[in-house]
Amino acid sequence: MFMRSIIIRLQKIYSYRRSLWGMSWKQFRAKYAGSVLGLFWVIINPLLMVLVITFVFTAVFRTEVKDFALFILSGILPWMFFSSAVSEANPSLLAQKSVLHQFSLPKEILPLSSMLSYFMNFLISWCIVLPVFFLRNPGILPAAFLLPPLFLLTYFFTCGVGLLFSVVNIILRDLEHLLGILLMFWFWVTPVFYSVEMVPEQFRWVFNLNPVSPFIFCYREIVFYGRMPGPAVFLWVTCLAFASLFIGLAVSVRLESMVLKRI
Amino acid sequence: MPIIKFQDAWEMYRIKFIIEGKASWQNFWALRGVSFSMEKGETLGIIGENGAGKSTVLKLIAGMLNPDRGQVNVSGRVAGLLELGAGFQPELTGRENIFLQSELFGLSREEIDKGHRKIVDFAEIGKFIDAPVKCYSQGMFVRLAFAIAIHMDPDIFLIDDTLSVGDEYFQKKCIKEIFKLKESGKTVVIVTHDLALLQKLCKRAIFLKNGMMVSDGNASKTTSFYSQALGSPKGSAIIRKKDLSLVFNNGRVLLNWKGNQITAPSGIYTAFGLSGRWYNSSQAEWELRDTAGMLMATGKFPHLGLTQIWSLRVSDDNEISWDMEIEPEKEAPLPEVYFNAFLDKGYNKWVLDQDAGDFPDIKEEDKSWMPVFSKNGTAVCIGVYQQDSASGELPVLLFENPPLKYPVQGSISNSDYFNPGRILQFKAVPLIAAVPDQTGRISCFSGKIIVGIGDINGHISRMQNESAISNGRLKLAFDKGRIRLFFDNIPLTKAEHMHSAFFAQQRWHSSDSGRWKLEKESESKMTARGSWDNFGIRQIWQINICDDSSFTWDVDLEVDRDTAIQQQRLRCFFPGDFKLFFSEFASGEFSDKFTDREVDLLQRCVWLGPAELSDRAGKLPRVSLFFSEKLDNFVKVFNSDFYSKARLLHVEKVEPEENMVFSPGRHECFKARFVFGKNNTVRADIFDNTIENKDIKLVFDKGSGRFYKNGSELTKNIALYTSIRSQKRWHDSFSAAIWKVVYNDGKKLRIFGRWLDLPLSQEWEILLRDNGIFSWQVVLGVEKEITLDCLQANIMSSERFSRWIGGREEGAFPEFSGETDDSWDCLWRGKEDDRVIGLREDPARNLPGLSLRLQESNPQWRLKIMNSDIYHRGRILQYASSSKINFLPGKYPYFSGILAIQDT
Repeated sequence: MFMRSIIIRLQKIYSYRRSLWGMSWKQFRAKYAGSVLGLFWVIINPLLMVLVITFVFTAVFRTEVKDFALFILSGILPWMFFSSAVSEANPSLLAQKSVLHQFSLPKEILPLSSMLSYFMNFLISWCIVLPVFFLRNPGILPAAFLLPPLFLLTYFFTCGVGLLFSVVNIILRDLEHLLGILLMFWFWVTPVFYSVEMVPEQFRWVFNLNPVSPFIFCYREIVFYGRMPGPAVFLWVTCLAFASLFIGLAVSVRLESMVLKRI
Repeated sequence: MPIIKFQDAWEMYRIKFIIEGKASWQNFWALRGVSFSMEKGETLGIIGENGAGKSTVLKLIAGMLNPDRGQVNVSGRVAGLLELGAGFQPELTGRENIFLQSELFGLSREEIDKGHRKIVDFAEIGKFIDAPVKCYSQGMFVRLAFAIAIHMDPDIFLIDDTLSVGDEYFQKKCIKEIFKLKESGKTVVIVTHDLALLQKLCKRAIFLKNGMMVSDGNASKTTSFYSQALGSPKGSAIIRKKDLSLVFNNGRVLLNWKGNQITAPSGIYTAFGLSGRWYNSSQAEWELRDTAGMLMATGKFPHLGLTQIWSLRVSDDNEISWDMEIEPEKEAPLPEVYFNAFLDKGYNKWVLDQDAGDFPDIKEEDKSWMPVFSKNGTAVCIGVYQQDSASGELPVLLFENPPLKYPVQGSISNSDYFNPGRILQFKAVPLIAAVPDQTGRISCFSGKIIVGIGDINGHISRMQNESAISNGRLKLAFDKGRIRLFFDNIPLTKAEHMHSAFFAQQRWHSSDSGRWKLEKESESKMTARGSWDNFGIRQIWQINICDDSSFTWDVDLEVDRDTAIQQQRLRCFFPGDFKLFFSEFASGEFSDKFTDREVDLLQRCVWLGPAELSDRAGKLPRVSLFFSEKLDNFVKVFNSDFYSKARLLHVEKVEPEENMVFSPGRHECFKARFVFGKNNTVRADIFDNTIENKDIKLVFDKGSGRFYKNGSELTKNIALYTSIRSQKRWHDSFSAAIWKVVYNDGKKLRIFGRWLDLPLSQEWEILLRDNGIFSWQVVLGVEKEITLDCLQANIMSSERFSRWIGGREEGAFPEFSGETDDSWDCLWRGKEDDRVIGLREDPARNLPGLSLRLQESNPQWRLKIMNSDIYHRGRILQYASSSKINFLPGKYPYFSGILAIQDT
């Protein structure tokens, strides 16, 4: 019964795919609307990020690790997508409630569309950044074919978390203020500036519990080391993505009547 | 398959209340079990007060809410105007908003390009279309919003009372567009307070109240239902059963049968008069409590210090029980309370207990309520029904009350011409026995309204037969202190039928104000016991049908303590078809003109012996009434007032003054016997009351004698009469005594009269001789020793006599002058040896002279000549005693004189 209602919801979301697409495209544009460089920021942003990280870690910290900047870049791009999409999705229901009061959209469209606009951003960033990795190590090419499914899984995973947060935020308004701290903490327990191997053995369980770390691991394996992540890891990531999406949808459907009343 | 389906949908809001800084959460049910479904292409209107749950229903349809219980299924895309301005980006221009919203709604690029021009055209807001919408006026906003919504081409279109913001032109345009939507098979749901608009747009409407669906159906029926409940929502509620629904609206109860209001327009309410002003229950401030299917309504009259508490309950078989209590703030006499039910004018028949009849038409000149019928009792059942039920859907309605401690009057009226309707009314008089209980309340009324019983005629005849005895052609039905009489199954009595009454504590108490118990001893005999608890008085009626044409009705009185009852009577109302009355004394014809009061056909005169009624055509049986002289019974005949339009036979019992108090125990009061269909009950030897000789005539008329010459009356008004003063009261022969002609041979007339209040009788002998001379002799009979203050014999003569003669004196009567002559004015007083007085007229006026000569004189009596007061305008010849006289039982000469009518 419950599964059925989730499927019905998915169908409904699908039937509103045009609205979803339209809204995310609008948000994507809106993000850069009015600025002098406009859409160029989509390209400039990741380029600048690469430059800054390279500068900080080679010139300032003088790290020993070879190509440390690229090492970080391979992790920070997915993390930034995740954290910004979630923090954007979190207040989306409240921020756009007037849309819900005018159209009978499935309310999931709102967080989903804002996350989708970040996903576009994310994809464009990779388009800029990937040639850099390729230039450094052309051997990553075969592994890079795994990237498109990984992108999709990352999006699914993020959608699940974002949906969950958007709903919980309605019930627990405090989440909005807590989210920054929560994401910061999450960032530090996610192996972005380091690899899991650098972590002392007794703390490693924390990283294993963190569902974001296997994603980061996969990205780094593929683009930095040019290695195929093992099938076990990839399967694990797939499961995490779908589980997250399921939980997000389930909570959203389950708490719908309460949520609708509060917005 | 329905496009929208609500199945027992409930919706709850948790609302945070902050009272004096303290927050508390309360659950509020916005919808309680709403179920309905809509097919594709239907147009539905939703009405209700603010906060009734209308918008919640729309939101559920739009998917903006989910039901907390039950299910809501909607298939298809929904669009509409739910919240003005929702979905608009204030910074963007109107045109940009069109694109934005079209996109949000999921239209394709081409559709948007095509549609956007139509939207701009439809909105008609000119150049403002390219201005940011934050600059828009409300009207422009609604224009744009409606234009966008309607061009989204949804399957289901919702409108939430926003159209009224637009101007009339735009509204019309919208309505046209909605009609187009309807024609193209779209489903439309409209919430509005504009009932006219709703009826224009929708065939079907639902009415929500307090989150409950009160009515679903035909739009005009639903809107009428809605307007009934309009008012302060604190004081209005609705109870729905299958066919019957009850709307309580601030002191009025409105009933609907199968969706049609039957209590138009004023409904059912209470009214009372207090210090010269009328109040009705809709003027009170009402508050409601709904407890376990019962409606408790409290109506405060703040300036009167009075609260009415109604409890209303509707049973599943359409019985409404209505109890009312009164809570006075301080001790004060309670007013009479009227319980009025204003009913549809389509009702054409009424019932009141065992009576039934047609409503007369309401005429244009009827400016106020016109009474049709009324009845007193402690329990009355009044009702209306429609005889030709094919023409309408009006159910039988009965309004009744169980026996109360105090009398009520049930009445049926027509209302006035401008608010035509039928009115059922109870008048309750609670002040007699009103004692507040411990809670300070007085139970005032307890009624029941039964709607829709099937067979009204069966209901009436059942009521009649349960309490009836019969034998052959006669049937008597006892009806709460009344007897109804049927002869060959034709009702022989009407209006108040046959009942008794007694006069105690300065009031008449009719038998129908008592509480009665009936005991049927056999098929032809019954005993009824009526009690008046607050007086300690009971009446016992024994009714016995002797044979197929006669019955007896004996009435006994039982009192607990010494009780003063001055007068008692039995009254029998016969139909106007009876035209003639007969008695030993006089016979005559009833007038068909009825006035606003009862007319004593024999003017204050009463007589002994049986009385009879008959109609002319012989269709009705002749009615003969016999009664007991031993019990001091006598009979009167009346024409009733125009409300009853009946002929009255009336048996009366007046107690001699010393017996006014009844001692504890049982007393026989009346023994009446009615005989039907026999012609010869009145004795044939009735004596005529006239004697005549040539041009002189004398007519004895109920205690007074009038004489005529050549057909013109010489006497006036009370004419020849006697009067006796006892204990400072006058007892006149024409009013205080009952008379009977005992002998008449054409020249000599002998009359016997008995005083009702005194142990006295008189026998008059009037002998008419030739030459206009007759003698008048009066003998006084005394039954018990008595002291009389004064005795008189009088002749009141015509005012045409202008001169008087007394002894050797002579004088002129003064003229009657307006204001001053309100007492009798003595002009001449005779001495002991004066024996003759007379009246004279100017010879020119062709009037004979009149003289009175005493045959026997009494030293203590004197002759007098008087001018009467202005009312009688008569000249009076009088012979009167001047001092108190004590009489022992026996016969005494009273008066003996000769009257001469002779030309001067």
